[in-house]
Amino acid sequence: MTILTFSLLLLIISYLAGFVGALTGLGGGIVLIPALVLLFHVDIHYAMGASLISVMATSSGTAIAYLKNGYINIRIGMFLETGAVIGALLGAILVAYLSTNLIAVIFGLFLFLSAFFTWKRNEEKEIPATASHPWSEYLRLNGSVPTTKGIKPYKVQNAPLALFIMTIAGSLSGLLGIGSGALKVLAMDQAMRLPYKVSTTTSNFIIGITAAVGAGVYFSYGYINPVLTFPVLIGVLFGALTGARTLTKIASKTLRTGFAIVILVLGIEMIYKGISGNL
Amino acid sequence: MEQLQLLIGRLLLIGVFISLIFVAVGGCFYLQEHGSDIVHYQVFQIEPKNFSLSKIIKDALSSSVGAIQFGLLFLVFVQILRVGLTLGIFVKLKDYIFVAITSFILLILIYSLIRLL
Repeated sequence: MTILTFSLLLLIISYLAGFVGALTGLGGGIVLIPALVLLFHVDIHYAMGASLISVMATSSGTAIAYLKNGYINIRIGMFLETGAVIGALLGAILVAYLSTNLIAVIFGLFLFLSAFFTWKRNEEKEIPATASHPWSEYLRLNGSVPTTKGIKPYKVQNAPLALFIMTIAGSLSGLLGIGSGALKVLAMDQAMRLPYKVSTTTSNFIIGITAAVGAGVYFSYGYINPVLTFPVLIGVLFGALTGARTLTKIASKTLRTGFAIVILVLGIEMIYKGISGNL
Repeated sequence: MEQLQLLIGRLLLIGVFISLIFVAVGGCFYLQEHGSDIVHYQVFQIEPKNFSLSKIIKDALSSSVGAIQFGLLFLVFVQILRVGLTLGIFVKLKDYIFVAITSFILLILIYSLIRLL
């Protein structure tokens, strides 16, 4: 295969990963990295580097749309980001001390987790919080969200737990080169009980900052390969932009179940390759 | 506040656009130079070990790979800039808890790049 063919194939697969990642809200990385490693036999570190860069680009490129319609809560985002950047820094530094096979196994386990949350998440069963956590009062995290029935205020629960989950999410982002959307959603949907649109858009907004911390470390380790990242970045970015435009509504249950099965299979494959030392 | 938030959004969009130009132009030149080479997966092991900020900036206009590299690093700088602007918003609002929170994030972000200097 020539480099030209290889780059075009990467472009297509990255586009698809970005597209599906935007539809499901999980981000492109969790499909992209297994695809690069399992199909194209790319070194997992380079796959992680390319993915992290794409996460940064996607988060930055889509922010303006969400800032315009007023869903993003910057205060919640920055509060949670304090945990995420610490996690990302430690996670990214740790990568150099772990074997490729161990990273693949951890990645596989994270795919299981993501599959579970994708399958289980049900935004129609949104239960708004009635009371807010003392921290939310102190930090003024409570906000309001534009809905079809006008501006609706919301309260923020369990801020400390959310901060803790975000620190874990940040570590996984640095450790695996992903946006770790599944955990961020867990922190904001489940712990804080934010409205679906607020948690999705705020998570998407801050993911770029978390990824930048990991990327800084990856750069110094030499995990960011320009030649590989070039088609991946362009593919994921445009995939994510079209994905966000195609379905502004949340992907249907069927689509999400299908996607959950795909990442489950990828997870099994990653763990199998990792354990058999086949990477 | 809202105006400033939109400013951040616009800055991010412009930043991604600039980065994309460097990456795409560099990438096209690279494919022109090496597109018909056969892929050995070792091709993807060309990472320079002595990797520094000044070298990346110097290489940005002198080689195709250098241009891509610069575009990628530029994305990281855009994130620093956006956190910096967010910090500016909180300073303006005299919201000192969030000034502290955002400064902390900015510090970690800059720290993660220190090894590149």
